[in-house]
Amino acid sequence: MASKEEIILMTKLALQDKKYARENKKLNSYFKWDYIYINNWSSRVAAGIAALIIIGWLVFKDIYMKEIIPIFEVELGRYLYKYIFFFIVLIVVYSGISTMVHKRKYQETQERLDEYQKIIRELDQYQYLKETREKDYNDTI
Amino acid sequence: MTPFNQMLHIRSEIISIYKKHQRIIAPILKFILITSVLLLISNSMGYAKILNKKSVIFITGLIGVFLPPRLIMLLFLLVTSAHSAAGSLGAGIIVFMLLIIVYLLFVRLYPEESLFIVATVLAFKFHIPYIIPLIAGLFSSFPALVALVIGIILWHCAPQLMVMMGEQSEDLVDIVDVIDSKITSLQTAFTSDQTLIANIIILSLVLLSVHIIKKQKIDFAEYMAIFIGTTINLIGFLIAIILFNVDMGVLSLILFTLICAIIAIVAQFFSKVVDYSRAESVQFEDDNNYYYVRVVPKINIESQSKRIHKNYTKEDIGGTSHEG
Repeated sequence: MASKEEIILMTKLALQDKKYARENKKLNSYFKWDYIYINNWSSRVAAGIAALIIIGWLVFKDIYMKEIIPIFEVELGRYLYKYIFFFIVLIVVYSGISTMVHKRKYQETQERLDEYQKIIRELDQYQYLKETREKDYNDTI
Repeated sequence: MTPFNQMLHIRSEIISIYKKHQRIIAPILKFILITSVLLLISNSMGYAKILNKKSVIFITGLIGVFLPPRLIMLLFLLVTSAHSAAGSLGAGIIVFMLLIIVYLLFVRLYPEESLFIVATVLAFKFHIPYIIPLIAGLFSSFPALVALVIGIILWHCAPQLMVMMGEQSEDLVDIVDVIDSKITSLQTAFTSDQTLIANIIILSLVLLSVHIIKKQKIDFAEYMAIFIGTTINLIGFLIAIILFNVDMGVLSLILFTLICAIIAIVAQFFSKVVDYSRAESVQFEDDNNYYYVRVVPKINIESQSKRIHKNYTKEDIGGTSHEG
């Protein structure tokens, strides 16, 4: 039968497993910068879609309402320059924000895993001491 | 028992009732909140007849109970866009475009904080918008500021969108002209509305000040933060009313600010004990036994004041006088 201290330690481990096991396993399967890199790409795709919605509307409005057809009416490069600049700035800024967010998430996971390892070491140490005491007692008898 | 200890005792009673039935109460509260927001959308817009049916709202609310915050926000986005599109296709396209941009750029990264967008709109509806920067400053993080600003903009742009949706459905050929004119009128409303600008600046300042002061390592930092945030709110809006002719009643400002401050104080008072930890059941095994453990967080009824107890012996009191 486990002692009170062992039950407390095992319960702490079980609580962590219950709340965070899936998230911890998923994040810990990546190196830190791989995790940030992968999530940054999905963030860039999202920011790109948002930028394309805005740019798409503005270009469509120019073509439909002002009847400016970029290829024929104006030089294409000069016309698209401001939109490309906006697109790049949005992607860069959003990548920075996404890096900060995912870095913090990864750090929190590592702290939880460190805590988990600490509890396991404490439990191992406790069980080792318990076994040693039992062995000494048996030897004395 | 001192009055303060009586308050602590009442607090612990309420919280122990909540913790005992938390597994039932939490999903019910979530269902009530989600259904309230869906009913608010339905009552304010109500153009999509199928989404107005109580059974549809009920089932959608039930589905929302099992969804994470990000998907709940997506649900609200889709319902709002559907109502807008049913009223006016042009307005529907604008609303969908704007909300999907908000979802892609903000809700994806900060799903929990994005719930403050909906909370801000609800708070404006019930005339207590000042509660949001206080609660967000106390319990959330800086990204909640973005959610607050988005919520304020949505609330102030809503009347314009209602007017647009009330118009007759346009011919598809003219849809681009109509969308463009609607976006232009929204931009005009945004830049010329003094109340909107005052709300954004002052409520943002309140949130920032509450958040910064709360983090300081001083006694009662949270309550000081609420007091200072409330003061900034009152002074800011009084200046806005006097100098910039913002359309707001002084008496209602003072009354609702005080109500919001009281709500924030009560929320802070209960949060110290609740601490977001719940009663949990876990199970594990070793070589010999299975263990089924129920973990119940303790509720601290006593205040944090230090008491020094000193035990005196007879000798200390002066019993030595009788000794020979």
